Amino acid sequence: MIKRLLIAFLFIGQVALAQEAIKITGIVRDDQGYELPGASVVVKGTMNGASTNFDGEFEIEEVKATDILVVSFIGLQSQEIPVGDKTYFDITLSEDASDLEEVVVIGYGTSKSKDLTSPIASISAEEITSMNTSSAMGAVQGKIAGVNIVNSGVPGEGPSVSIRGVGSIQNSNPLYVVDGMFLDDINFLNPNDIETMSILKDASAAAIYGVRAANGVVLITTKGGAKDRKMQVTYDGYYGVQSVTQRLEMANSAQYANIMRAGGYGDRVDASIDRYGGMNGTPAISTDWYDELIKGAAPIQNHSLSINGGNEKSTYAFSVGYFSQDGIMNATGYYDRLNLRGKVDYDVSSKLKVGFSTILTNEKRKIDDDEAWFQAYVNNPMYPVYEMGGNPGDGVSYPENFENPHNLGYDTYYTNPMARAYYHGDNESDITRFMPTVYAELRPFEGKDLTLRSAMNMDFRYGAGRVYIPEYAVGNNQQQINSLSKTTNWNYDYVWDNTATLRNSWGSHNLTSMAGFSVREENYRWINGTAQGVTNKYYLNSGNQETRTSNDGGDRFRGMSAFARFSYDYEHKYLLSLTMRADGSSKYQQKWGYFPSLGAGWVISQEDFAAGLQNAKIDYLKLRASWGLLGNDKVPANDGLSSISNGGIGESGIFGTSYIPGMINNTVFSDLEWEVVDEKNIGVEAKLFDFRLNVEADYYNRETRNMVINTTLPMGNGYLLRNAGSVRNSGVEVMVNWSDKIGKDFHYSIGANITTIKNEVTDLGGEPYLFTGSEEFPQRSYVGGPLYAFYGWKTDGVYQNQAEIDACPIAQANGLKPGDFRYVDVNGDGIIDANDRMILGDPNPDFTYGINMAVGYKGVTLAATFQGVQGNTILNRRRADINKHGANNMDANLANSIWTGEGSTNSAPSAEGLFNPWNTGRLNDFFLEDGSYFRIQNVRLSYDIPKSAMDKMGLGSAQVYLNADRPYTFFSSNGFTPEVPGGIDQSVYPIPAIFSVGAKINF
Amino acid sequence: MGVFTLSSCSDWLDIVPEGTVPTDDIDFTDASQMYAPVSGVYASTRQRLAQWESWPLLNLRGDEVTKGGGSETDQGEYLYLEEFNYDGIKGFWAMNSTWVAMYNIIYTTYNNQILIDRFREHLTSDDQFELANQYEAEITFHRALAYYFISNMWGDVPIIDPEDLNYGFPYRRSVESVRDFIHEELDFCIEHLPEVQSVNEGAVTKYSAMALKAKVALMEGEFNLVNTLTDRIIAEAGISLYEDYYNLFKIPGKLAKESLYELQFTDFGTGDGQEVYGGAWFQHQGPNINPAPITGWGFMLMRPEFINFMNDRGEDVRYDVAILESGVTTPAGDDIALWEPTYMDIKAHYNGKAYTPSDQMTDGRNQYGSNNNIRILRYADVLLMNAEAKLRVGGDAATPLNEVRERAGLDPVSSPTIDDILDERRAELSVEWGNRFFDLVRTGKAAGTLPGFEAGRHEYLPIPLTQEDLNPNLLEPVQD
Repeated sequence: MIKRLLIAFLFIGQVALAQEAIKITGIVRDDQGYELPGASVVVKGTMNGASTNFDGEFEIEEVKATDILVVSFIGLQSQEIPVGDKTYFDITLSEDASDLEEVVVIGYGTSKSKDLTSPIASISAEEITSMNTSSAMGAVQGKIAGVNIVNSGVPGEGPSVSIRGVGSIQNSNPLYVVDGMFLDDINFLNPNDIETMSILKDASAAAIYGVRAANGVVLITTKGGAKDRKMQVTYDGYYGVQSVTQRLEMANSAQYANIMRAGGYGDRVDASIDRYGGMNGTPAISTDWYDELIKGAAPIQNHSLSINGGNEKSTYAFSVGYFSQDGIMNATGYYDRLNLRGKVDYDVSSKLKVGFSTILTNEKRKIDDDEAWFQAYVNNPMYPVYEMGGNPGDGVSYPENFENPHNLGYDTYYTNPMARAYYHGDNESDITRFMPTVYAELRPFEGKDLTLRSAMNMDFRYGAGRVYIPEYAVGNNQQQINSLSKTTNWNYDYVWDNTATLRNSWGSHNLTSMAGFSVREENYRWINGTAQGVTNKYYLNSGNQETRTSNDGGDRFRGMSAFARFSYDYEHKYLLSLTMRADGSSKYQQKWGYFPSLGAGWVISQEDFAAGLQNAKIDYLKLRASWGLLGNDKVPANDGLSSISNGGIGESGIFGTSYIPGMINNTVFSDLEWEVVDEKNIGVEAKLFDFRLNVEADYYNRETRNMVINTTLPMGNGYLLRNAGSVRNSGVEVMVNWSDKIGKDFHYSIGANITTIKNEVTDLGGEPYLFTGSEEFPQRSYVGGPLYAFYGWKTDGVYQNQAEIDACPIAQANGLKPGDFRYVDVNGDGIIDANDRMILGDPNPDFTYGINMAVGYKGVTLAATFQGVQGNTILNRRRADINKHGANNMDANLANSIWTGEGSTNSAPSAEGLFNPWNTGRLNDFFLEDGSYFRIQNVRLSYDIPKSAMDKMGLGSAQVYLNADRPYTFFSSNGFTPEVPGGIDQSVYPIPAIFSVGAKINF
Repeated sequence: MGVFTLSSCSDWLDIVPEGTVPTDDIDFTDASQMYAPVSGVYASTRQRLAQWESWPLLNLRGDEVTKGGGSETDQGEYLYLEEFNYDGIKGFWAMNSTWVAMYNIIYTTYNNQILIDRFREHLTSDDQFELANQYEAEITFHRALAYYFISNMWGDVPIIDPEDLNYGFPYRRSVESVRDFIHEELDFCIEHLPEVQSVNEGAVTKYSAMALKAKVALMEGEFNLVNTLTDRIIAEAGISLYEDYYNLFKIPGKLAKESLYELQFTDFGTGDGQEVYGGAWFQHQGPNINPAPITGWGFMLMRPEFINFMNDRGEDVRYDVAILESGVTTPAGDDIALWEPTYMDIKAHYNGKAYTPSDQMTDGRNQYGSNNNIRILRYADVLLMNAEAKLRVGGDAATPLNEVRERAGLDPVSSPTIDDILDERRAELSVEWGNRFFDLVRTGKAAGTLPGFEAGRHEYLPIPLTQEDLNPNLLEPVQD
């Protein structure tokens, strides 16, 4: 047999030799006309070929006229060119409109887009930097179906991300895998350093990450160099201002005074008039605390410089990034980040490749005092920022002469917001992070596509925090002696991955097999010291000896995993993938969990019988289905045993003037089984009209079992993490994109995505309901209903006049007046009590959606992204606080909407009624608001400077742009932002819009 | 080989999360550590009983104080409480929070008793065993104290099963059963507690337990038992009334010889650094619109009828202690700014028993009540219980009564009536742990004295709605 083959081979060789071999040369360019270094030019069916050099040129010997050249470059459409009689080729590769050949990063490997059996969203570097956010995830908002992102306005703080709905109450953030390292967030990463991001949405794709995958997985590959590439230098940067374009207006003094008089606080209004003047019962002073506390504009900027390239054996990429953002509070807060990154790969031999990469990040921040925002919300507007002089009690405040609310009769719950920001702003944190990765890749056998890879990924973090509060007095809010607190914390995490990947092909069968073993560990320790009366605000040892305290603590976790994946296809037509992962975790009492997955795909358009599809303008059609199990160990590490808190003053009895170190035993402990996500996904992908229209639709059904939820125990016995039951999130995700060119210069695109989410509790282990939320604002989950539904009384209008009161026994029994709420008597027993409560709404949206569009003419492009959420309910926790803290200021909308007499409104109580617990001392639908919103996420106008102009300057390419992020949001809830985690709006700080100008230049 | 690898893997995963000390890691052979669980119970009780929101809940239903604060509507549910509108407070956060705090003490006592038992396993000598019993008795006392308050406030309540501390859904028991249970607990305490706590100042003694047992018996109307117990305290305890009455509730009166139990706080005698402070328990009772440190929320205001009652009796000494009047300078020299709440006919009079004069505070501390204790059980109460018991079962009621009156600068009464004694209790024990309301309830006088009170309906608070939501078994019929 072998002999015959050999003979046949020799025969073919003879035939080949019979033709005349020539040498050909040429150049490869992209459709912009730029030379492409590193493009591959191969004679079809042979190993004969070359890569283009720095100038895009190639040279191949031994080519025959009957040969066909295959020219390819990642991201561009490959071409096949018959050689014929030409010896010089000028080849232009155009962009690959179909993206079917796109290489997508999947767990522990890569796959071509066309071979996937599960929905994986791949996001390019370009899309990630299309918005000016400090964290890359901010730029994904609204672009990917099924990925929900909630932004934060705090400098340097990233958004919270959830994929496909709410599972358990534990941290919903997905797992981030950055070049192999497992991370909880990527806020520290320079978005410019990201080459690709893959979001593994369904269980089949994510199951390879087993225990960490329940919330979805985001895979990030940082930018590397490329072989045979001339050094490329890229500058990417922007400068902008953050400005608060929308904020909650608070009641002014006239409105506030009116309501306070109704609530029995009239003496305070009079005190303000006595002290600062006023007329007709209205104070002269009306301080808008948010106006005082918000800066007009705060700068934000990002500058990134990178170089990358490579020769025939190695590739390299280095970058430096600097990001800086000032807080919008009229104080000293800021966030500065410096990133250094390097990545080097080297082919030691044809069998061995090694590489090293490292990210070094330093983050410095000064944290504005959140309490100041809170105080701006609750403080009355009837006093000025600074003492006016000449009033009784003036001069009490020092060192600055801030005025205080206590002169008017307010207690120390209230303090001057500006003073709070001023004295509590010296709060620094400095985090240095070092993330090295070393790997070796061995291909031990020639002619056999087996790769052994071992990678060690580490993440070291060292954080130093310092909080200094000076001695001060603002009325009765006094810090009699200065205090200093310093904390250092230390993290050391690692992941050690070992994989073997084997690619086999026989006939039209292709099989990629991968098996791996991984070990990881996370360690966290902190130590804190405090001192008072320091003479130097940086050193604890300058404080009074007897005031010094110290404390420490930490956290530790270990995991161990084995996993395997088999991806099979027949002619890229029938696709099958199978994964299995076994995970051991120190967090659960049940140590080991097993997570399989299965995926199948059918590319109908590849079938012979489907030729008709082409006529119907359907270029590509794939059906796929998948199923998988995922684990969740994003639960607090659990002891599974009784534990002791001891030694501290809080656990020690006082006897006279000393204490005896005490201990408190905690016998309430969890015994947890694995939280498991069981997900099914059915999807269809289609590309139509010459790949101009892309459609992707998925149905998902995701059931979280054994959800680990922190439950309140009966009888005041504290809280307990329990496996509380199951919840199902199901829905449909649809993404549609159309892009086209008209003529040579005009192009446009429009895309939209929508995700529906149905959240349903399917099991609660026999208990009637699950109680969560706070005691006063309970949330209940019933089997068959949504998770975390708000549970309370439903209002039924407002009693408009005395006649209505007289006619209603309920009003009589409760001493109600016109302007009080009427409640629905659910059980019809003629009294309103606990049995009249019902489900009033839930914080889970019905659907989320995004729209993006772009139009371009020549180099000018205008792009915009919109994003929205529909059908979720928000609890306005701030308004509900009026029951506990009646003298709080309130939002102007509330002040404007109150019942003022018969017929004025049927949806809000009277001013007096605001202070009646009947109306405000319970969870009712008055405090629940529609959380739907529609946001202009991003608008960008960019201009690509023509190549001819760039050539004159000796530069590669350049783009300049104007950018607006989050300039406006349409929403109806009475808050600063409709994006509130968990549907409970307690937020008191505004989220700014960002307006910036930027440039990208290649040298 | 395979088995070996698998088990070693599991060992590698079997780690204790850092920052947690497993109970098993305590060295239970070291008997010198055996007091630590006891100390922990004192700490827990100190924190839980000093939660401010429990204080109005205990005291507002009597006829001494009314809810104050910045406005009549401020925490308006407390007014429902005063008006006995129990439907209006069913979901009130403060009532739930008080329930949680009280039961939490009970759980802590059982949890820490487990530790004592672990130490016991390693003890050898009889002395050590007796010490372990004493420690257990100190812990048990606090459980009895919590049940005393719970049963007085809510009546029929669950008794926690020590075998089911983790996730139980207990049923309610009758108030009689709960009180029987408290008696059993206190009998153990009386047997094992020392007569004097010579080392740990202010720790509970045999007589603390007797006094508490007498209070339970008083609620039950078991006057023979009250008589026996209070007789024994008077005869055996070797304690007496503290003469400097003005300072009884101030810094010099901390752990006075009259004290049978108090929640202890301290600033360790320094003007800075850590302190253990009663916090909002003091602050909510402090004067409104007054400069620090004599400042607070003005939340507990003395009722005009109580002020008149004190004046009519000619109470000079006790008036100055019980009542902190706004618009005047205190005998200790603090100016209290005049405050006339819009919702009251009289100016503000605060609870004087929460007042710590600024000149008694350590320099550098500027919080109202800093370094002061909260008194719970005292000898004056024992004397008055004794007097009442004597009157009911026969005996010399005048002597113990007049001992209390004498210190208050009042003339002796030769043949007191029940009303004399109840009035004396009202004047002496004002705004102390709900004594007044409980006295009115147990004597059946609440209905005639407290507007809105209906006998048979308003003795006990409703079970908090949240607790019924969390434990539907509370809605089931009471079990014996």
